[in-house]
Amino acid sequence: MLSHLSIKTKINAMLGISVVILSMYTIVWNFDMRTLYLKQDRVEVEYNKTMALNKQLLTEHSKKISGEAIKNKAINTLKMMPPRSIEQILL
Amino acid sequence: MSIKRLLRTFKVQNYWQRQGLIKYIFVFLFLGFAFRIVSVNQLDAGKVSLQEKGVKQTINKLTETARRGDILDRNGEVLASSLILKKVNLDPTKVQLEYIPKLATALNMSNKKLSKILAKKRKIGSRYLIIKKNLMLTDPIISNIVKLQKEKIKDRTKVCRIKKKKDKVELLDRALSFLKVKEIKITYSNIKSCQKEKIDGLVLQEDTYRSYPKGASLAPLIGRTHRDSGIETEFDHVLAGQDGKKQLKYNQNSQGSYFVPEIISTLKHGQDIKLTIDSKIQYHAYTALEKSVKKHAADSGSAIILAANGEVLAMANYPADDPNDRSVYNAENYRNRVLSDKVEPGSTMKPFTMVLALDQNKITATADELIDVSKSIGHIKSDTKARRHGNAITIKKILEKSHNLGTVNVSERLDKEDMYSTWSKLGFGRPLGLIPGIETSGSLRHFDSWGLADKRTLSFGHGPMETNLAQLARAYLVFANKGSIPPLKLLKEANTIEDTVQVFNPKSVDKIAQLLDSVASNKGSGYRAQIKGYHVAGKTGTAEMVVNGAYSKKGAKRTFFTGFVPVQNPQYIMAIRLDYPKKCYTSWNPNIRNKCEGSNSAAMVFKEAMSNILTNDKSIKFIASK
Repeated sequence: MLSHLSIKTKINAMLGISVVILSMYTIVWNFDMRTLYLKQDRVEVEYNKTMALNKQLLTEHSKKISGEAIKNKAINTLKMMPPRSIEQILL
Repeated sequence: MSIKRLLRTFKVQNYWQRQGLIKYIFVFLFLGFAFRIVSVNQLDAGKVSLQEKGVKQTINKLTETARRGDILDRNGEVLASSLILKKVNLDPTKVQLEYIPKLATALNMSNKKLSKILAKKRKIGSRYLIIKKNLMLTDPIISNIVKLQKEKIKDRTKVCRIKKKKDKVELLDRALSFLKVKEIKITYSNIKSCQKEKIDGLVLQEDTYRSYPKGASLAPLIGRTHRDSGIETEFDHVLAGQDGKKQLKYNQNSQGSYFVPEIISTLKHGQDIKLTIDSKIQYHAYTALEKSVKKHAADSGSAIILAANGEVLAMANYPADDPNDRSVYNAENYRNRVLSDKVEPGSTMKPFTMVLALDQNKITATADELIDVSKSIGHIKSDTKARRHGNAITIKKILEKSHNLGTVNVSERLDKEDMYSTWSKLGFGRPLGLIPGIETSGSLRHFDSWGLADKRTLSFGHGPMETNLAQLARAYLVFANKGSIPPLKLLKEANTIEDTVQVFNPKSVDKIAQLLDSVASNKGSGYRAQIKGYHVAGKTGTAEMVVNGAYSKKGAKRTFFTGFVPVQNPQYIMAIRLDYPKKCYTSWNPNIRNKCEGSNSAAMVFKEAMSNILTNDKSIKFIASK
């Protein structure tokens, strides 16, 4: 069908078509890059939020299990006292 | 003449002129544009050219703040962490009155109180009001505020506003006014319009806050950010990280790189630091120290606990401030006395004199070997106090009763070169490298400058040496490492450069360790350090305080106790120092209070802290009493 066209014309036509396709792809790639950038930004914000929450919970945990809180609870609430003498009972 | 010919003639006739004219017009336009470009860009642009301004406007620089690293203990428990807190900021001039009840509920405040605060601020025209601050991320107020900000249209509150509107003027009147025939007065009328609106003037802002969950117990060791103290300052370069800088260019020529921001400097979050500290052991050391400083009315106290491999398990100081309280900063309460103070360690050095003498076969330390204490040696007098246990006593007795003359007698058999070399190997006078910024390396004068008195006093921890408490505790590691001494370690993952040094013969060390067991027995000076169910060894020490280069005339003393537990294969080595304790009961007369020594002050801290630590350590065998 295209046999009547010269090789030069065919090459020119192919180059023309590839330029158009590449241009279209450039737009698509650019859009993808933008979407990716925005997504990365969103994920980063979410990650930072999670990290902040994780740190807060670890700090709260560390505070709660520090000896002072436990000791105060043991002595004041549970009325636990250290033994006055320790003896081994032989059974 | 045909028309064609006529036209050709006309064209030929005017061709040169028209072409020339158009050429000149183009040249003129080109020159005009060129001049305009130069003038706009450079000549009329002021200090900064429009080109530069343009570039600046198309570049968007973003700064990403680095997250500060956490400080963790050996079990991964948080000792210091940077938290993100929120604060609620209001613009009182913008917040709609209709929203106040909803806002008050969200803020967990009374409606009346919030209305009053807002009215007050509105009156003075203030546009900035922080109504709540330091809110944790899990605080319900935050979720309430977010809900309020993101309310759906149907849930929004109807807000009514009164607007001024111009009254209508008749067309005829307007025309007459235009012709200046009639004057029209413009009148306004108030119109009330109500519609559902979003809340305005409410912002949730972020704050970073460095939290220290263990409070005062670790304050002098960890320090505080932006203050010259502790781990926070020493390892700031590791903890701080590096802020990142990105640049977005709106440049048409680089469409491809539009959404790939150019990185100017890479964001590096701060690294976490894992210490060898065990926060539970630290807590026991701190509370015991706090209790003792208060009980004995001491100026201050410090303590360090080491594991057998040289890892620092606890480093406590009292008084100390809670670093979470930003309103107070007293540098004295952030001083890490364990590392920063160099003092004479007193009798806690006697065991080393004995081990050295035993190592060199100058003594046998057996029950039948008696050391003469009937004669004075130099300025160390043989008075009745020195002879109260007899004219000749065993090495065991010397250590039990912390006998100065007996120790000096033993030291007379030693060369000063050997003593210097051993003390040096034990690490006295050399930096430990734990926190170089605050650490003092102590001092050990070279033996060339020693007089006889220097050598004698050195044998019981005075004279040509001064040490910090960490160095003293480290020296006691010889009892846990068969005569060798490993370097100290404060950072869990750091490699130590120093090698383990063999100082004494293992047999000599074992023998003296057995004798030190009797120091912490009913007969010894350290009987208050005994812990039921465990074999404890240690040595008390008392040294007069040096104030302004001279020994205190008021009788101010420093009291020490350095001990280890269990005696066989020690797991914990603890050194305690109390500065100027003033209220201490003596064993034989409870009414004599101002007679503080290592035995009736520092030894009690050891017992208090260690009994709690040992109760929680299942690896150390409990020996039940019958």
